[in-house]
Amino acid sequence: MGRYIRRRLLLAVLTFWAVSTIVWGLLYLTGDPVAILLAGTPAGSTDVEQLRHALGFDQPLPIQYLHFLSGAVQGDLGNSLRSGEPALLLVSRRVGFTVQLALLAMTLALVVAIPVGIVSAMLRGSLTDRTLMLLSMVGQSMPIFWVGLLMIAVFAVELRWFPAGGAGGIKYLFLPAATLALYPMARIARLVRSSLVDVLNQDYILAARARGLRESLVVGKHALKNAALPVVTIVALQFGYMLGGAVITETIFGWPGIGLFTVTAIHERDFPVVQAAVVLASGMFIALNFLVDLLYGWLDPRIRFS
Amino acid sequence: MSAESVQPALVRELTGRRSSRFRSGDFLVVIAFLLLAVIVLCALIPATLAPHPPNQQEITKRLLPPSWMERGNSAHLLGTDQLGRDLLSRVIHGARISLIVGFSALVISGIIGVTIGLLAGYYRGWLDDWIMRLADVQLAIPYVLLAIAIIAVIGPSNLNVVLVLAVNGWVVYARLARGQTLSLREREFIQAYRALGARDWRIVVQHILPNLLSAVIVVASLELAGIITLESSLSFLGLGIQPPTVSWGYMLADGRTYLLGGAWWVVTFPGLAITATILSINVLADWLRDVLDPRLKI
Amino acid sequence: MNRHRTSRREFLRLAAVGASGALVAGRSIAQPATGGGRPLVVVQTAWPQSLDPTMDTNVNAGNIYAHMLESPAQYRYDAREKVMKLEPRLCDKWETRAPDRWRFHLRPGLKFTNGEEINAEVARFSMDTLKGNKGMASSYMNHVKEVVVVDPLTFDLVTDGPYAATPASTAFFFFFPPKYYAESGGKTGFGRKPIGSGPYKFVEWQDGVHIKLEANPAYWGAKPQIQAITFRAQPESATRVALLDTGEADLITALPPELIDRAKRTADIRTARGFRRVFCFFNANVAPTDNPLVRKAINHAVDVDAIVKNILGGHAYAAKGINKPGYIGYAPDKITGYKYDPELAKKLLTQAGYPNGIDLDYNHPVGRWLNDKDVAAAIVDMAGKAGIRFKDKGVEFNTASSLYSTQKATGMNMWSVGPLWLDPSFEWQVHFWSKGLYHYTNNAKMDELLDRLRTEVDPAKRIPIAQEFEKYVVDEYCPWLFLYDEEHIYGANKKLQWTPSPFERMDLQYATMAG
Repeated sequence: MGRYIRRRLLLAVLTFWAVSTIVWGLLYLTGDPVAILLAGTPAGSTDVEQLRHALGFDQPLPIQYLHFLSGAVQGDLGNSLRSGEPALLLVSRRVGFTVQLALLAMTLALVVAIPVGIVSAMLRGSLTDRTLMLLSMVGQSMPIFWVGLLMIAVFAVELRWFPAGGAGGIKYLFLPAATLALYPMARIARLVRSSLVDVLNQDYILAARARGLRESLVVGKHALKNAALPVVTIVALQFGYMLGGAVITETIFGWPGIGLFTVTAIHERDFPVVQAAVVLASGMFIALNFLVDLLYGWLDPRIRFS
Repeated sequence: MSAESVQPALVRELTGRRSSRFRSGDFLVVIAFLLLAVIVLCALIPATLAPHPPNQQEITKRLLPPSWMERGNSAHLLGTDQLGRDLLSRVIHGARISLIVGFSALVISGIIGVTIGLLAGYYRGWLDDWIMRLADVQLAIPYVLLAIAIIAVIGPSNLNVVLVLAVNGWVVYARLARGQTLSLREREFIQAYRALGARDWRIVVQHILPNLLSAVIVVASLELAGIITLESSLSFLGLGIQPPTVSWGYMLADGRTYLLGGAWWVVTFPGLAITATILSINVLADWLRDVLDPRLKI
Repeated sequence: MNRHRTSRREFLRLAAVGASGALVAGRSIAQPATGGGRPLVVVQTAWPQSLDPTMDTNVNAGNIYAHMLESPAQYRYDAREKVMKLEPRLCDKWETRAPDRWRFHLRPGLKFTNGEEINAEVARFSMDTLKGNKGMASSYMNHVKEVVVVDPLTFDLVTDGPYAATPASTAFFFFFPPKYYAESGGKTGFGRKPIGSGPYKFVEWQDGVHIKLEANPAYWGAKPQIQAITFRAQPESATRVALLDTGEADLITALPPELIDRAKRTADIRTARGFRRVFCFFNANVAPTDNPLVRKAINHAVDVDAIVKNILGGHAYAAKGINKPGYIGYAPDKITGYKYDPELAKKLLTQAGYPNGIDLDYNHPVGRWLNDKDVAAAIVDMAGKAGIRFKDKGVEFNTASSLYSTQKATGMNMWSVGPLWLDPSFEWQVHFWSKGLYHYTNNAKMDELLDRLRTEVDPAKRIPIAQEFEKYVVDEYCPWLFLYDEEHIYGANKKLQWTPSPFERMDLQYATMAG
């Protein structure tokens, strides 16, 4: 077990390294950050050169990269080009908001999707099933900014149940979470239904029924556990996406999470901040994947020991 | 023992199907088929079907409501947008790019993802680890950054959108394929084949892949919804399909302020087009999956 | 240029009267100024990166720190005369000592809210800070070589060659308390918790939630009626309007024209002609746009008035030249400009050697200015009818910015300039000066005129230079497709008595809340 963990840690470090290098490279492809910083100002070319030198952007690329790496290893990802504050600090101020939103949204999604999916699977072919799945499909085809704007129009402006946007307390969290939850809710419901149906068709279920086991036991003990595998995959993926920051939801509601923050930093070519945000996001992914792999092992013991 | 040898009726009873799904299902499938046929037709011959060129502006005739409302104009059945362009024509022309971009991205990401996932799941070991780390790396990179970087290198074009969507989507197939392969690999019949000395690729293609296909098709149909919506999100951020090409996603993102303020038709009709496309594809994919289900082959 | 100088004794007497008056007033009028003590909620489009003006010069930051920080002089909108005036603020007078030396006289007895004195040393410290912080504003005071302390209340700005706009430029020369600036950790500390001498002082900044200000009880000038302001940010315009609708916001910025009717249901619309001019520049160094006939043809091919009326809903002001109302030498009647005439456009193109029209790239940012995508689409359409076939290359703002700074952008490129101080030389040197950031023009006469404009200190002499420059640039050289000035559109609570200024500064210290 110790060897397994050590191997995973090593791989985690390697992943971090790969992510930050790729992002670093991509950022350089996107243009000159200094010229962008000074755009539309009375700066002349000498000013641009001086600032470039002061910020270290005039050094050859490999040197810049080594500089970045050596800093990163010590936990220093540089300072924002816009505010001068440490990039990691800036990002950490927003992470809490993202985590809150992701947790509530995923909880809402699962609380609705799993029962709906199970009921649909067990009643497959019936009108209930057809209706539920149709509703899910519709839920999945509505673009998220539509959903968000409609929620604001109905629940905030018309009914005044919730604030229209912003942050600062739990009442601000509901509409964004509901908006963010709709797509995963629909997707997971459909997936739960289809993977459960798949499993229910299989041999060992046939065998269990042939042995005369009660239907609920058949479904509960045998089917669900095996149906869970692809569902866990998608849930983890969705949650990871939410943690990476749900840009559109955050934009529509003005929710100060990491998604919009990162996109703004990308737009402004604030390199250190983008690095910090991506490193943080990949850290969360890696942790999440680790948990998911453990979960795989529990769900299907044959995978556990290779 | 295998289900193939058991009679279909018995299978149906044992698998607990309560009603023959073909009766109500058929109707929906037919509608979906027709709808999709119309959409594909729009994609194939838009110029013939559309009453006006999609980019023809008449800024004095902007924001006309659909023809059945007051102030509506019979020359513009579904109304006009903020530049006076005919909405019906734009919706018809939009079909092509949405379908092309959607399907290309889907196919590319599907093929890449399933292949990678199969390899990872079958061979395990260090290959598995590296591939899954690659997936993690890829997921951690914001698609916005990828989109901007690609644009910076190639310049804005519609190819970017396909690339970004494809690169964004392979992971789900890879993880799925890997997960299923991991499970299947350990099953007795696979072990048996391996013991008998059957070649790896044969095993993968003949025995693992078919079992995978059903799940992949379901996920793919689910993903299509996501891809079309993602295209709209890219447009929202200014990184999507470029004018003069018309896309539904662009129309949605562009007109979203009108959702709250008056000219609702600018957003509603492209939105309905997207919903109709996704719904019909999903219904058909479900039907296809039922048809392909090996359990019921005699 | 001598102004009436308040003698020290006189000033102290006035201050004593004022102070005692304020004390009496404070005791008898117990109720706070905003209806029931609720803070005024202002919702902008984005959060500031920093409240340190040397680091963030964006309007979202400026609107906040301009309430707390002060400078030697500042612009104020005179609503009656409808013009921006440069008024004395921390300094009550200034004069030229030499062509490259301006002397500023500080008002005595001014203090920051933490008690630190405002004196000439502070001026020097603030200039050093601006130049040394390596932020967005680092080049704004390039024309100032050094700050010389003459006596505690007098300092000189020594410029690098004569620079006429020096007093105007002090509108961005904000003063910081030296001790506090250092103690708070420099730009990063000060940027999160600024201290100034202005009508408002900083209370707190909860990241992503709000920034709170409250009235400065010890303010040396007229005390604001509105006692507390809360700033928030909401990127999506439809949501901003919703906030105004529900009453969660009292004032919102950047209201798009298509939502005006919606906002009017429950609130007021306040507008001001802005100084942000949107235009398209050509690369005059590369064919076919190196031929002035081609550039002029494009100007004739676009109906700016129709764009302003139909796409911007009348919420913009067609601008045929390069000078702006209120700037020195502004005289739009002296230039001809370009009328919409697609036939003339085709004729000019043929004259230039392109009888079959031309193909050009059209680079433009998307989502940066009001309806910019639609404006660009309309331009492409109109020009196409005159044989000018644009390839629409809309990109995200900084991608465009990056492209322009490589000096390699070809064809036509959409851009805008918003000034930090109101002298034409500010913007003209950004775009037309060979020592500026962009080198898309190449003209010795323009350079020479611009140099003279920058250095001629006597305003009477500057006017003809400015007008000659504009006439030459617009009617002869024609480096741009001239478009329009944006209108600032705000949504406001009906009870808020406040007029927006063209200068994009909210100046809420002059606002009052009825009831």
